[in-house]
Amino acid sequence: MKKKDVIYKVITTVILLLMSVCALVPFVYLIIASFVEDMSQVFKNGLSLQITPDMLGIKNYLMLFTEDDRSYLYWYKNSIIITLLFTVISLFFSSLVGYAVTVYEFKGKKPLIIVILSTMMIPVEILMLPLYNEMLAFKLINTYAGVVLPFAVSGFAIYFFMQYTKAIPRDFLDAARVDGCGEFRIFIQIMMPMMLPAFGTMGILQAMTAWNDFLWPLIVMSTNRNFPLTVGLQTYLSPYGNNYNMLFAGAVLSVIPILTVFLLNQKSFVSGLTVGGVKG
Amino acid sequence: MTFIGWDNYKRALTDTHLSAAVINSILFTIGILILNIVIPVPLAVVLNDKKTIFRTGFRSAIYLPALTSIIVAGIYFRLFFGSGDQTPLNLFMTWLHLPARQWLYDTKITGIFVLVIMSTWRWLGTNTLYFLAGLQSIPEELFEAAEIDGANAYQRFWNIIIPGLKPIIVFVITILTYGGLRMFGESFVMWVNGSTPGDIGLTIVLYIYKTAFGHFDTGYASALSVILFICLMLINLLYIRFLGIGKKEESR
Repeated sequence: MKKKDVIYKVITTVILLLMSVCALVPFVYLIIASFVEDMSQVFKNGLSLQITPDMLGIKNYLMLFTEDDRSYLYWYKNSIIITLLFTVISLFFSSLVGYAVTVYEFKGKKPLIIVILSTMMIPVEILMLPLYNEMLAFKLINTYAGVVLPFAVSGFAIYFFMQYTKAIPRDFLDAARVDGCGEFRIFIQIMMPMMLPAFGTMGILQAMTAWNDFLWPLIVMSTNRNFPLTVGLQTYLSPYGNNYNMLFAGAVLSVIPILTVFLLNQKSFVSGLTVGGVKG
Repeated sequence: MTFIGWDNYKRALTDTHLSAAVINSILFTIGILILNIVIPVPLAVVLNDKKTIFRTGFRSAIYLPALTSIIVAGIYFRLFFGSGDQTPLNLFMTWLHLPARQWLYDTKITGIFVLVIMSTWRWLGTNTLYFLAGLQSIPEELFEAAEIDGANAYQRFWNIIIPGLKPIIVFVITILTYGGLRMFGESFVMWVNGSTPGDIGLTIVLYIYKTAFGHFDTGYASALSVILFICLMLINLLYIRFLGIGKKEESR
């Protein structure tokens, strides 16, 4: 190897190492701090670096589960339910719409596609007021349905399934039709199994969106017991005092599900993120 | 409910909180645009290079922050940018013989700096992934041809990689502008419950949120939403016109 190559390799490796450290330090810090029992040792208006092993223990985690009103457990349950509902509804309806507007010919198909795709351009934040009023009118405030329904079926997910359906040969459909298979059964028994990778990728992305969403559940949910994790954890911080013990431990536990899913499905994550923008 | 014509829009013109929020949001957007283009492009090039060791490991590490929620990121960064002398950042400042700062409450600029760093931490991995995917779509022959012609790494970067990545760069600029101008959660978390003193860290959407759900001034908040929507659409049109989004669709 030439000397120049060696220098290049050393420099790039050092830079990559530095960037990885910057990316990972917050995780490491959160995990270590979540085991510190006396938080006043760590915070003198910020976080200090002086942590010694004898300060550590699992008291913070125990507190989460033995809290009087069990709020953390409720938040965890809410997050799981919201994420599951959101993902299932999103996958089912987005794939149906994406499939239908790709495979079938009907009047007004083009304008419909344009309307669907242009919803991707409208920022969610602008809709929060009218949607809030709509939820009020539907009496869905402070319910799971109110959190899940408005955003479950998105233009992005439909677009994703449109792209995927395009790649599947139509011969399968025609063969099934000749054999007398109904349209809905074609979708369930023939298309769905073939779209399985797409379901996996989109499912992970939508689950991550739902799990980490903050603004909309903050607006819709009004009682502590109905908060998902993101909104609930935020209540540990208040102008009247911060409960860092439970905040740190709670935050660490809240990242674990999504981290596990990521580590098990790294490939799907990557392909899902890049399908939307890069294909064009 | 009474109809008041253009009054809410007139009020917006002279609202100093709004102008502060707009300036904050614009500066924030410029900040993340710079950091999230200048760092990820070379980063993706290095991560795409077969000579680089531990490529998958580095990719995963750099992407991990994208998995966190704003809340989790906010917990760390609120403390990282805390005002005590013993915080890592202020220790570093002292080491550089610079004064320790109250990052969250000093000036609007330090407030924006904090927001830009926190957002970049969370968004960098995703943007790097976009560029990585873009790099893989550049035909291998171009690099081979460049090698035969004796082009050095610098020339390859500016004459093959950058033009080849142009569609992705345009795409990332668009989503960053969108994400930047509608940023809300970061501010809400850094200054607990969005209680931004002296409008430090106040963003457009945070202001709309506070107007609507804090002061229950729905009419004014709606007017502000409409203004934001129109501005975003105008920026969108400008991008389409000058950066050439959509040209690809025609050639398809």
